[in-house]
Amino acid sequence: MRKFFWLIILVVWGVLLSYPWPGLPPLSDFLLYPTSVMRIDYQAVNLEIESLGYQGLEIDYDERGVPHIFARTEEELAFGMGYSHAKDRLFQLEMLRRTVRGRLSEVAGAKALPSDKWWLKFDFETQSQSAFERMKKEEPKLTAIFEAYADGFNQYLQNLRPEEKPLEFHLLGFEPTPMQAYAPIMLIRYMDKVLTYSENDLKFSALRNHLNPELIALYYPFITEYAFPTYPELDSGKTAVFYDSLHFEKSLEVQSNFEGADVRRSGDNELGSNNWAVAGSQTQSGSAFLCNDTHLKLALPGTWYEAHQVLNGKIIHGFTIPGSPFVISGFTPDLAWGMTNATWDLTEFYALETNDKGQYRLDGAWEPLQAVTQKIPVKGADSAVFTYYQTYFGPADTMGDMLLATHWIANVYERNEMKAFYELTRAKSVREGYEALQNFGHPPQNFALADARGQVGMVTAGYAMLHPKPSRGISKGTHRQQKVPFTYMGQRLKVLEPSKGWVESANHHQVTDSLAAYLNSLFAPSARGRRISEVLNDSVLMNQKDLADLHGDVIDGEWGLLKRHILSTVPKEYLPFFNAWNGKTDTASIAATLYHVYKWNLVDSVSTALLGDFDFRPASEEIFYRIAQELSFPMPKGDTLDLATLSKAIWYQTTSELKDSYGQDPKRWSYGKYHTIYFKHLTGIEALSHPPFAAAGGPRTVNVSTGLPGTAGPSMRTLIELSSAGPKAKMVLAGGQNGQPGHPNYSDQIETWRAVDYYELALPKTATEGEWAQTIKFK
Amino acid sequence: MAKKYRFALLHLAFFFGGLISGSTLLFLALSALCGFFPRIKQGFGYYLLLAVLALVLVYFLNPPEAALLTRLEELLGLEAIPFSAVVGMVTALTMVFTALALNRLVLPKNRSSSRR
Repeated sequence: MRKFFWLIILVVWGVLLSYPWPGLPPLSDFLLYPTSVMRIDYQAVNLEIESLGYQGLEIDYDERGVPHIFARTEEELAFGMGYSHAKDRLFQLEMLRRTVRGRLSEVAGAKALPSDKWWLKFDFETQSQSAFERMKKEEPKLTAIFEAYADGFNQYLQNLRPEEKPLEFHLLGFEPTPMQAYAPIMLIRYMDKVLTYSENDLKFSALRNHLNPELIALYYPFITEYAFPTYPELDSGKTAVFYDSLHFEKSLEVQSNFEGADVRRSGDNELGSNNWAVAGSQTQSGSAFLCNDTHLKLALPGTWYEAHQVLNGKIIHGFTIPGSPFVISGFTPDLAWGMTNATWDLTEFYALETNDKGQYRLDGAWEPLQAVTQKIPVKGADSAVFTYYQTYFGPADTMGDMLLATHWIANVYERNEMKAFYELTRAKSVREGYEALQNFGHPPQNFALADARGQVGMVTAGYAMLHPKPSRGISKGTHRQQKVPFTYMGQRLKVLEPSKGWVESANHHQVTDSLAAYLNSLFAPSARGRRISEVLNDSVLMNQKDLADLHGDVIDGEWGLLKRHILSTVPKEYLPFFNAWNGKTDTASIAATLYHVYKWNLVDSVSTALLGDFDFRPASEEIFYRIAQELSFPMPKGDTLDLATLSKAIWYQTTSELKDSYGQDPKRWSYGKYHTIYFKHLTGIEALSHPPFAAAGGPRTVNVSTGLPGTAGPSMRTLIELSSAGPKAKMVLAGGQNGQPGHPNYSDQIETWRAVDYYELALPKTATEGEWAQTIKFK
Repeated sequence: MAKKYRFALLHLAFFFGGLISGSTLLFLALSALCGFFPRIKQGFGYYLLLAVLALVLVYFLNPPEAALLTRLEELLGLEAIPFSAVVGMVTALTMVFTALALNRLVLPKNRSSSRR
């Protein structure tokens, strides 16, 4: 028996290490040195890699971890991009692909089931595969690039030793999977979800249970006099069209309040962006400038990945999105481009009339509901089974107590967004850039363009859902003609070479005539756009510093609307803090804290008075505009909100909250204590995130931040100058290039980003021009 | 005596090889080999000493990423014990148990310990 003593110990020890302890990573892999995270090595080592078909390719990484890809062919370039994305963003790309494929629960457990069920009903993987096969015939050059991109990704994966996989794979206990050539098409759907999907229509239908049509029209207008256009040149000149009631299907009634609906709150939680371009005629150097900062989640790693691509000596530099071989926001020596979200309503819900035979009514006949059953593997639990229905109006699922079909822009495969970016890199002028963007379908974007001849332009490329009448709420889905078609807007919404010499967009209305009401009701507040326009309009011959200052501008764009109200209502002991305050939300300001806490309490109070617990508050800009205009606030029971009384109560609430949080002395209520920014790791794990820090700005400043703490903001900044002498550019990424926690390039750009500073780009044309932290040669 | 040290050196090399192998199977196989020969009884302390030596050597030659370990320790709530020590302990015990189990299994009957 003594002979087996240590064997028994070993077996017990083995069982302890191999047992899948709930909530813990697989201990045998995690804690045994040969396969543990202790083997992860971030030391940059020069490599020579054998790679059939891509000999001669060289990737050099600079100190920030930006890859400089020197290639002879477009396929080599794509291969290098795929390799770099895999090297630096492996976990992010794994999770993105799993999300869109509806296979998150397999590695994250049952908590990811709602996400998987939601994505699976669109079956984007199958559709992307089909689109890729079609593209092979129509655009063989492009599909060859996609294949090379996947090859590059998979080459990295093939050489990756299991123990060197990123930390998150160790923690969750699974292996990275190979890239598919159709993935770029599939991953556009992820950006569609981020930028276009909304369930506001569900809430608008439920809103009828809380407010009468007159109040809905008053507090949730399609458009107001205060709206501000990106393209004043395109406005019909007519005053905006106002609708006194919403176009709802009269017979449609909903019981549910749709708690937890994915709502875009007209700017209060918006993910927006800024871009502007200034023509050479308006700048000191005579060169055109283009600036872009896209407001997305401030995550580690972030959405963007900077890359310097050199194809036979021609440079393309900018921000890519992992999963795409192309630069999405950037420049060549000829053209610069940057984007903001068009923020249109591109999701429509159709209530189906069904019978007990599994059919739905369509044009007077009963059509079968085609049931699709999906089995979803779930980590640590039995597989889940999920059934949805294919219908004429789109995939249908039960929401609230109704069977609703979803008609969403992401299901459109008619244009080729990747081709648009490919063509942008070949365009020589603003006009050619505009032509390239005619390929862009969704998510619709306002593209600012600038060229080396000093010209600028703006085009809003993509599809809109133009209803026969401006419409919100759930639609009836009983007739084919009710399905709203998508209309391409890229030729209609554009201004090339404007006489004023500049263009800007910041997710606000493109136009303020009647078209705006057909496009949506979800535009961002005009504060940022107004402020950018004001600065650009007031400036004479701008320089690089002026434009950089605009990136860092933290003047609240709604202070002008609210100033009179604030100064006339603030308790007198706090009035001195507002003396000479100009709306600047810097970290030391106490007025900024008082102003922000008061203003959001005000919106909450008006919303509560209107709706009680129903969570769908009116757009804050409408409330502020009514205050500025000294308009009354009618309430549901026919009475009117007494703003003076309310204001007094809110100031009391505001100062009480601040005293509770920061102490009795108002001198300690500096804005930096109230407003912080927090870069969260993709998984939300605190230890892998960057600690919150004091930050200037807010939801209505050009240098924007959304949330408390701010978890969304400028995910990158670009400042590009184009001239015949060649491009000059500065960029900064929110976070860092490398997605691996603890890597030197994981969060190294945060301090520069926080200071609204940039990195000056070197833009080498050959590998010998630079000094590199790491060189990888393919032979 | 020299033979004894030669075996110790060989065992150390096996342990070291297993650690850097990147494969759990190879790691276990090399640990088991340490117990396989010579067919003389080795003690817990003997294997532990060699395992620790091998780990120190590996940590020295391939130092873990400090920033990564700091985040991991925060994540796992390790305050007093460094994560590298936890991994070292679990790994060393695995090596020792594996070697000892094989050593006892292959030991001929009535063979005395190497120390006697």
